[in-house]
Amino acid sequence: MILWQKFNEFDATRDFRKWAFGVARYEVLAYLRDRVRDRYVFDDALVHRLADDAAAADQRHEAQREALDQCLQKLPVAQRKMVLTAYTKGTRMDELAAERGQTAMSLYKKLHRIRQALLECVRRTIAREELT
Amino acid sequence: MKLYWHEQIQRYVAGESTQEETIALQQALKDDAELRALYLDYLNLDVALGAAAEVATMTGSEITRMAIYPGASARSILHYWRWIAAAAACAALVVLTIFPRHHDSSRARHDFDATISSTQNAIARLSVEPASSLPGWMSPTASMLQPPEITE
Repeated sequence: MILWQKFNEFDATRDFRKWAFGVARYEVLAYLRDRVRDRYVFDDALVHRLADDAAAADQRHEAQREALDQCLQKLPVAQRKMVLTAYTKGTRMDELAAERGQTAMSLYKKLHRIRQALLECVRRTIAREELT
Repeated sequence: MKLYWHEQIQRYVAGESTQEETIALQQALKDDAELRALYLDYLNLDVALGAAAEVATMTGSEITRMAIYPGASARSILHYWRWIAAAAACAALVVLTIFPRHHDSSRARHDFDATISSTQNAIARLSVEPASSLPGWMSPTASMLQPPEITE
């Protein structure tokens, strides 16, 4: 919505992508600046560096999202269902763990391993496609 | 990349890190570009899995290729929407960077979830909405995105 509201400020001669990323970054930073007071988080310098890196890595991340499809299909069905259920809005990890007869900690560890496997698969898939 | 940092990054994103772990991760991220890339890859994976779960919920089925990644015709029509969704994903990365998940039910958590949810919804909508069968000029917003070519 903010992008639409600010759309008339966009100079058509400029890069739309850079403009959109810039707006998103500063709106989020401004929104959260007053909210994050109860926990230790990364400092502004690192946040800006990460945001710069994220903008520069946009194409890589898009390729990763595409490769994720293949990697999800390679997961055993039970693991695929588990990870998608865990990411479904409203899912409570303690309830999901109880349904599966596990502790929440055990479930978190399994999810960590699945995410790591997915990320490795995604990176391998992209590397393989770059070679061909 | 050491397995230790895989674990630490996931702990931070999940809001499980202690203050000492967060400080150590912050310093390592400042010093190591490869580690920053890994961190962003995990955030991207997190956002993409959320979108995949949303699509699976909406379609009532497991994820499909089309659902994750639209076809070429839809992509060309949704060109600018893609940039907006990409910006939303960037916003989600910034949110996750600044404000990782944690497990209490504070208002801030609600705001965080709402931001992430709206980003995931945007990505999911982008992925599953079919290209409109109507000509572009019939859309009330088309003129803002793709000015029609006027032929003499």
